[in-house]
Amino acid sequence: MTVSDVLLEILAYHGVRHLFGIPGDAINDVMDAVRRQDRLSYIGVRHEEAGAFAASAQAKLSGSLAACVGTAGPGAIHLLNGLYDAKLDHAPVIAITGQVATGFIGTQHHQEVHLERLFADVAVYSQTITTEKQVPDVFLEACHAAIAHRGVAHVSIPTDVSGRPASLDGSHRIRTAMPGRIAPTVADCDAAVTAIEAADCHPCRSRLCRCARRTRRLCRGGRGANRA
Amino acid sequence: MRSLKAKDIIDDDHPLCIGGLGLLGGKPAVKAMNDCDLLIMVGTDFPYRDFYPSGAMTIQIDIQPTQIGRRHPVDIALVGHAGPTLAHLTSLVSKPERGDFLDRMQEAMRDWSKRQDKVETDDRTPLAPPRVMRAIAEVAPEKAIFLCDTGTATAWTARHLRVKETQRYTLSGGLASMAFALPAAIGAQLAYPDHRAVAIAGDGGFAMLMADFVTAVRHRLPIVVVVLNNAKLAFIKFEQEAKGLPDWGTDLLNPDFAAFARACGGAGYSVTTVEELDAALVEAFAGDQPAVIDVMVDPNALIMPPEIRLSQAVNFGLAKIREAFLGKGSDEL
Repeated sequence: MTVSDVLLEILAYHGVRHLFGIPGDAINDVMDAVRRQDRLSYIGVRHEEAGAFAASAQAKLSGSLAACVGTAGPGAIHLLNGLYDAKLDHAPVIAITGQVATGFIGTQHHQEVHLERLFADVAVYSQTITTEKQVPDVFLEACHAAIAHRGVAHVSIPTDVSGRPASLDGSHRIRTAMPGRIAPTVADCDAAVTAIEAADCHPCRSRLCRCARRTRRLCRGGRGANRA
Repeated sequence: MRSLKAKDIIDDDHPLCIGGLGLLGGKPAVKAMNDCDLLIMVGTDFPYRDFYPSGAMTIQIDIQPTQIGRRHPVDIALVGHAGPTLAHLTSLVSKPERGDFLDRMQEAMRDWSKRQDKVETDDRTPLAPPRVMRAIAEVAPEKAIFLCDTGTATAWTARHLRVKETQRYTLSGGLASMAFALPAAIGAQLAYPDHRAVAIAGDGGFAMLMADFVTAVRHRLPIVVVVLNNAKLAFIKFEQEAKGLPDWGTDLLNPDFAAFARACGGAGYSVTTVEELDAALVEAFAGDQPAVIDVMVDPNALIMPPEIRLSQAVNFGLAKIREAFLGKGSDEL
């Protein structure tokens, strides 16, 4: 089992069924892992932006995690507009990108772009894996961040890390992020109920009526009172 | 009333729905905002401050505390998920006495719908986009998912595409990016194989990522792409004219989109009349291959805001005069 196999296991566990993207030199081991499994379908697109849009649309419609992939440099950059679409519409999407080999990071290497900086604005979580020891924890963090914050998570995997052996044994508890059903406090709800019951079902536009409503609100201590 | 993003959640033909709010919305929602005593915002971050009521008490429900009060002052903040919060509130509120507010809003909605009907049934060519929306709604299957692009397509679907309870609708809401509809249809068709993904895009938005139509062919995804083709970035034209500027730089030279679709191995239809449009829609939905329906629509079809301010009218007039001097659009004057 490699780092990439673990990644796909975890994506599948979090409900991802399709991986949209384009292969590239920096993600060869990721794509090879995709070839060797059948829980995720690879959908090869003609532009990474289309892949990110497709994932974003899936996430918007279903509310569950969707995924896209791009290679280092241009592949990653092409994803951005579709990922911003997910960010602004609160859709949980995970973007996987390649990166130059760890020994070249920070040396202006061929196709090297500072991906964490590039994704800092669009993503709620952006991390580069530099050792297989971060696996599966970083993948889990990324999935949970995207789901819990309903946004974009990004993991970049350097080309010399994605094929390294990694394990997913029983000690790693794969837990899906809590989908969350949070209700407001009883006191807040009671205040809302009072306001709803006091609302007039016959509101009228005339100045006199508006004045009367404002006065009533002042007596109730609503916003009007705070302003006055 | 609903924001545009909530078109997926609140059905247009629900008796309690009084339509969309905002520049792309309708008059009934403006009326409701002006007349209301209490506003309850559920999960919305509706950004246009001008459309909020000036005197009403406001309750806002949102899971994100930073979103509360961001656009409009709030009297009561309820931080929580919309589902359990609304369920809790409805269990506590005693059924209110039924006033005439709802009646008046529904009356306004009936008037508005009548006016919408009129533009949606006008068969003249070049086709008005509202007529195209009506045709799509009539032929689209019960389980359709509409993926809307950004531009005039957004406005036409917002107002005129009546989405049924069994159908879905989404768009690039917050980012409002062009090029969303086609790849979104691919994603939607894959995620919901028993549904039919319908992309509704302008010529500008479709052309941006149209290479991926071949992806739909390759994966045998029976998406239907309706291209509202006015050879123009028409929404930008409106925005230029609304500022009093002449329409400039918005004309497009398009390839033959139907021929492109066929070249990709899909179905392609080029239509100009209602009869051709209906026939193409019926054939596309009956088939199981991806299709592009390239509809020639009126580039001068106007998107009117629900209420027109004098300054907007003056600016529009100025733009038309400037265009006339530039030798453009003189036939529109």
